Amino acid sequence: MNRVSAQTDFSGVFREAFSFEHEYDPAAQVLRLEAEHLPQAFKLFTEDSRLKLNYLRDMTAKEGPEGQLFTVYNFVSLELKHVLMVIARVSEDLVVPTATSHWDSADWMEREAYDMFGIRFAGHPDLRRIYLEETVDFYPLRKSFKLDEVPNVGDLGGRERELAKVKAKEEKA
Amino acid sequence: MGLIDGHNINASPRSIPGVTLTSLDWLINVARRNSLWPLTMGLACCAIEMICASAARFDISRFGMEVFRPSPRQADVMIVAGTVVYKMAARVKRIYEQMPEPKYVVSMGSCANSGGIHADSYGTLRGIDKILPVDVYIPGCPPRPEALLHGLTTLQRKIDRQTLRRDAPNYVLAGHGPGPGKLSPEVAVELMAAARLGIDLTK
Repeated sequence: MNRVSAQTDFSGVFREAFSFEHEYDPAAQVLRLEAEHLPQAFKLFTEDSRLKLNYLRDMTAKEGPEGQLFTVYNFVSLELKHVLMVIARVSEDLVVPTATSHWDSADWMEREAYDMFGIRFAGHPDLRRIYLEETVDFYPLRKSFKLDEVPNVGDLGGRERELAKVKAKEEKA
Repeated sequence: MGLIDGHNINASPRSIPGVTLTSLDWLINVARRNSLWPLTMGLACCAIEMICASAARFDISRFGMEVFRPSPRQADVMIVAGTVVYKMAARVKRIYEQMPEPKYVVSMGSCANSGGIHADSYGTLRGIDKILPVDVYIPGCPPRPEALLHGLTTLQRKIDRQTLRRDAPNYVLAGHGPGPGKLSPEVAVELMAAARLGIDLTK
């Protein structure tokens, strides 16, 4: 998709709608804001007739060099044929308002962001890990993650036999 | 060993027409090895080679294995084709326990054998043999269909050596149930989840 030439400048729209601090680059079509202001932005994206961002193409998260987390949203308007990237800075408590209230496609993508970065999405209908098991206690795409500290499962068949022996002894006694 | 047809032993006066003499081991092994029904289960890119082996060019049905079963309750051999992550490992274990005896496991490709290129990962089980008893390992990344067919014919040769004699080390009998070293799938999955957290439940 030709991103730049087909784009419209939304500076005026954002300036009139957002009372909070935000940063918008019309050449790159990137909007940066704080994650706490996302519900207001989502409402504008879906309801404003100049935006009509009805499709959430991709949603992910990233970690900056100083360890601050961001959630990244890629929106498309299938009707008006323009795109917008939103980068939201996540606050210290790692809670971000969910996008599932406006776009159903955010459901699994937010679960992935939770799985990999530990960002919790307030209002998500089913916030569980999507790739890893429920029982693990690490978030692998964080910069602080240490691969060496993940325990390796040894010979489970051997352990199974040992445990079965213990159980058989208990049953005899 | 082989079939001895009563019609062909003209020299023996005691031969009875229509009666066939053979050993029970041989008969049962021939029946088992020529109707190995694999489970329709692919985990990663090795499954593409497995699908290819079942298609016309490589034609797995020459060995009596074309009947890929969608249910573990009808399958004889589980081809573990691909990377096994911990989340899937619990499910693979459960599916294996649902298969009826006698059952065989073929570990296909580097990932199923040892973790392969994903071995240094936070989510990959380093070899399916950590949770299942494996009969045949097939190396390769992925193995070509010919390699899979060779692995399966190796399994057939292994089945040829089975016997029904109870004291023999290669004794295999259908329906003898779980041995003393078996746990229920639920307990086994719990054990694996604990091992992931570094807790050893056996101690």
